[in-house]
Amino acid sequence: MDILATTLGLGAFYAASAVSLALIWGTFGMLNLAHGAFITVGAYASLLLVNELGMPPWMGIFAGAAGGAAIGAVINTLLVARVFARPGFEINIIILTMAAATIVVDGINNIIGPSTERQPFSFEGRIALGETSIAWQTVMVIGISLAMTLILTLMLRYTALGRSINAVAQEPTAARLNGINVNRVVMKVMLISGAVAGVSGVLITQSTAVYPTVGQEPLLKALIICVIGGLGSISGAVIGAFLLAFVETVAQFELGTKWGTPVLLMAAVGMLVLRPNGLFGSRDITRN
Amino acid sequence: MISISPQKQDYLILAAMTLALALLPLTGRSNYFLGQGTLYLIWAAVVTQWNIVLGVAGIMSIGNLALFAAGGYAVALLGLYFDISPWASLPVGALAGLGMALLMGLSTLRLRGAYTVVVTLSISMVMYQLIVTDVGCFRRTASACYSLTGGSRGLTRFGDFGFNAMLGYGGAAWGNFLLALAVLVLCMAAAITVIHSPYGRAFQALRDNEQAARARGIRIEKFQLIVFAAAGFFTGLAGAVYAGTQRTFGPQILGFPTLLFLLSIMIVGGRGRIWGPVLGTICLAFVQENTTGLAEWQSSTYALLLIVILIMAPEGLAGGLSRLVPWLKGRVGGRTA
Repeated sequence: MDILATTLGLGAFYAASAVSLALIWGTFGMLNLAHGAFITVGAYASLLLVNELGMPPWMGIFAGAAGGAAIGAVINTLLVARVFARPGFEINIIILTMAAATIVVDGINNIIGPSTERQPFSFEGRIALGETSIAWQTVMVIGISLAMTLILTLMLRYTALGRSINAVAQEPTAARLNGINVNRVVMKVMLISGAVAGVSGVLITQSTAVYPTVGQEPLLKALIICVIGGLGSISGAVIGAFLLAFVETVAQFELGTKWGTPVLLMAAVGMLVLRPNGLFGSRDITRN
Repeated sequence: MISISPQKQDYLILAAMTLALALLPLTGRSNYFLGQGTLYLIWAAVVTQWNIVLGVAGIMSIGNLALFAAGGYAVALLGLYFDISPWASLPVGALAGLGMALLMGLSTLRLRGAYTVVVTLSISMVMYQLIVTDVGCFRRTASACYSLTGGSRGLTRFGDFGFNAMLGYGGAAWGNFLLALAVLVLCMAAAITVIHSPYGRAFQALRDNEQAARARGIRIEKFQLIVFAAAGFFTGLAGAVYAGTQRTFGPQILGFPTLLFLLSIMIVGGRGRIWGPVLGTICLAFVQENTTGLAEWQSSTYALLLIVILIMAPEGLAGGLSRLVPWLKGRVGGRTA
């Protein structure tokens, strides 16, 4: 029962941090190593708005979304737009976003300071559930994560924007010939992805704390989750999130806390060796 | 004009470079200069092999520092617990790197592109996490207790190459420098051989247009693995030399700042170009030595340099130079076909 409760909470965290990575990876084949920076910026946006500007704590989640969207726009304008759909995009964008993440972490360290702060956007209290209990916070994280996932999935499938995203993802040149403004579509995806990552940054830091490299571990977990779930599959990412949360929780209960992440990573690597396209991925959208 | 093959040309440049660098300690440089030089030679060696894996063989590994760390820790652990001199454990370090490369290479053999990035990064992060969270008591002294791998503090006092005893007082600095140079020359010679081999051209074909290359029957998964394993061997050797010359080895090697620094060297120098890593190291060394004043922004400086070069001149310094040379020839010698 403890394992189940922990798995649910952890899985929801992971799902929250993985869906936005899955969105841009799945649509554009772009592995965003600045994803951790998006999460960090979201967490700090909430922190600064509430602590420095004296806004009420519930505003924090919107600040997180705005901060994440802003960094998404900046990364898009300065980096993505310059290499998108050009030769070597796949590897170039990985290197570029990794460099960008370094600048963001350095910037926060040097301008705001390396100290650890409490995330002001948080809820107290627990609900009793038989022998165990679940924190309100966990319930809220599960709720917000599921809502974000659902909205993204529906948006991709049923809206005009979703259709143009799919068109650009499949063949940028053809999309452009059919009158789609590719740059604008990419910008929108980066904005959405940034906002979702920013929100997840606020959610994640409720249980940890806010510090400059807070996005690093969620980034690594999100990478593994997306790989396990398979490219292009947001629902695969969510299932992968809960699956990995379960593996990690069992490892922590059985082997001790320090083994959680290593076992998780090794399980993921092992699974990839057996199924190179992930559990739910079938199509290979590598493009050079 | 005597025509020499591009491969011979590269070997000749390498020989000239080696001679010039080997004479450098005789010009009365300070120990600080030689110490930093030793480090840069080692980084150039690591990036040379990484460049072969990522830039030439097209394996998107960003976990090559795990190979380096395997070699370094092999030397440090053997020295600390079995009192084995770094000279004797050099081959063990190289083999440790080879083993790590086989592990990575075999687990990524069927994977493509970004998947390889994730798996190689994961393996090096697992290594990092296991070392940093290693706090169990393994070795107890009167005042403190040390874990097996030294945890986040790393390992020290496991011996060195003993150049001070061999070459007299002050000999350590240039002994280390020459040893690091030897590793770089080994790595470069191996890299030149790979690039000019038939497989080097096959790799290039695969990189330029995978479908076309495969349609012509090029299948080189096996050779990719061999190149990766060789890179593991040489990178492990470099790690072993690092441990022996710096006399300390810690998990910081596996952290993002080191990864980014080496990546900047590769990109600035020119990815996939044989002389890229050396040119990139010279450039980054120059930047590093002149930006010590803004220590806290140093990583950002490399990151910024990397971004600008990758977007503005993706072929890097080596690419620019290779265009400059024919242009100069045309200027000086008139028209030469």
